[in-house]
Amino acid sequence: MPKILIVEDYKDLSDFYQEFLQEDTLLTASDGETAVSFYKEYNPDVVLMDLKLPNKSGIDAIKEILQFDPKAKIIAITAYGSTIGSKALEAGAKEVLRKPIRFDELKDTIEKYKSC
Amino acid sequence: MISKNQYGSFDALWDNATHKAIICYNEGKYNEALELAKLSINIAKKVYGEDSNKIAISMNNLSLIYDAQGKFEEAECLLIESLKIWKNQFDSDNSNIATSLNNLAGIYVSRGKYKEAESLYEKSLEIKRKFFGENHVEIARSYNNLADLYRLEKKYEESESLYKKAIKIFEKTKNNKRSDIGSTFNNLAEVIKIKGQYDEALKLYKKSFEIWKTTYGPDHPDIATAINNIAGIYYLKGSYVEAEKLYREVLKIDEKVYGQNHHYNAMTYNNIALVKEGMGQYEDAEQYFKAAIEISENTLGKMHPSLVTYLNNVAGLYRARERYKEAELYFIKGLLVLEKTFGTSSPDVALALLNLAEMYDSIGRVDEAKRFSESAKSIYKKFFKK
Repeated sequence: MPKILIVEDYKDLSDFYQEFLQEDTLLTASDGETAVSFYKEYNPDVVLMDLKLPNKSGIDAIKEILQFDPKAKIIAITAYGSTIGSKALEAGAKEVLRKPIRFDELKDTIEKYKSC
Repeated sequence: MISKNQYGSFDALWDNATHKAIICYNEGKYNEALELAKLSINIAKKVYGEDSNKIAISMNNLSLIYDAQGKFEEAECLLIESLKIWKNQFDSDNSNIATSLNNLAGIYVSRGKYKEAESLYEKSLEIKRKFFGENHVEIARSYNNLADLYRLEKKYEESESLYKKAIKIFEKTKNNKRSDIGSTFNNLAEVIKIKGQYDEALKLYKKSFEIWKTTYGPDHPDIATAINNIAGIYYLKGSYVEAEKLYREVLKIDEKVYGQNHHYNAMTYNNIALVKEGMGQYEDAEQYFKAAIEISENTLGKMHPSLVTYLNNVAGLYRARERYKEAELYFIKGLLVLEKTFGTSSPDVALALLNLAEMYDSIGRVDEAKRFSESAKSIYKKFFKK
């Protein structure tokens, strides 16, 4: 069963993702630092990463995870337009989803990275 | 009684209607093609009988038109009917049967019946192999179709390997349509892009573009698609100047082909806006997002689902610029379109409500955040319980 790490500091959104991904093995983190340490410890298949996070920004967390594992599959999520989104791509995120994300888009993107 | 001479003239009549139907179909004139294909069926029925080869051919042609129009059930019925006729007339190794199975599989793909489609594509491939051998364009086309299906099923390794096999055959075979190999390069690029290998994907998209350019000429809509794909990779690589230049070329071709007020242009304006935003040119980005919204509203109506992307994008821009009132306005407009499109209890609506709640929470409007969040929860709890 694929392991998915959800990194989201807004609890209600994190709850939604957990409910939505209930068939997968889930890990959740609400800040960048925990995200990095969870990645190193549990080596998830896909990371769903919000970019605006406390402690360590999503961009820095992406960079650090990719330093540890260059093959990490990270999907960035942002509500702050494509400036921060392009920074996430530069940092090595596979894709950037803009909030509000469409349900099918979220589902398809996660499925896509689970299978490649 | 019908005389031999009369048969001769009926043959010509059937040939004429069938041929013209194919031409109209290839030119995208589906309504005209539909009338001609129906005429061809009627002629075949009256002159050659209900179980004739010609009626099966006419049914196949009509099914392709229905497929293009999205009338999948009608298309499916006709293909099943034509298959019955051919199975009665020939043994199972007939190339017409292979084509029919292939077309029927295509309909199943459109209807999301992937398992049924896969088995028909394989059956069709098996017949084609017996008929044409391994190194034939028909085999390459089948590989391409199966690879498309695997791509939809997210079986990327299988898909990539079959596209590559198809390309090898297309390259070996002289007697093929150049557009075929162009499409296969384009499809392979899609898979490679998903794997995050952007440089490799770019090479393949460029190959496809070069082939299509020589096949279709510079102002064909498929050329615009090819350029759009290349621009998309430049955008993903952060090469905004190249991306913008190419999106403007797309706009030029689409404006020539479809006119200025077409919803395709809205999508390109949106893409230019994203590039502008990436470059930090926020005022320009705002103008392009708004142009995308205006064109989309004018062409598809104020409640069309494709508006949601543009509305959310401009809202995201405002939110990033801390212009919360405007962000709120556009997020709510997007929410209304979602509610209208998918109903008030869809997970899309729940997600949009949650994102609004998150924005309210981040700017200290805690009560509104709570209210929106509660509404979202009551929607998705029900949805995920199903």
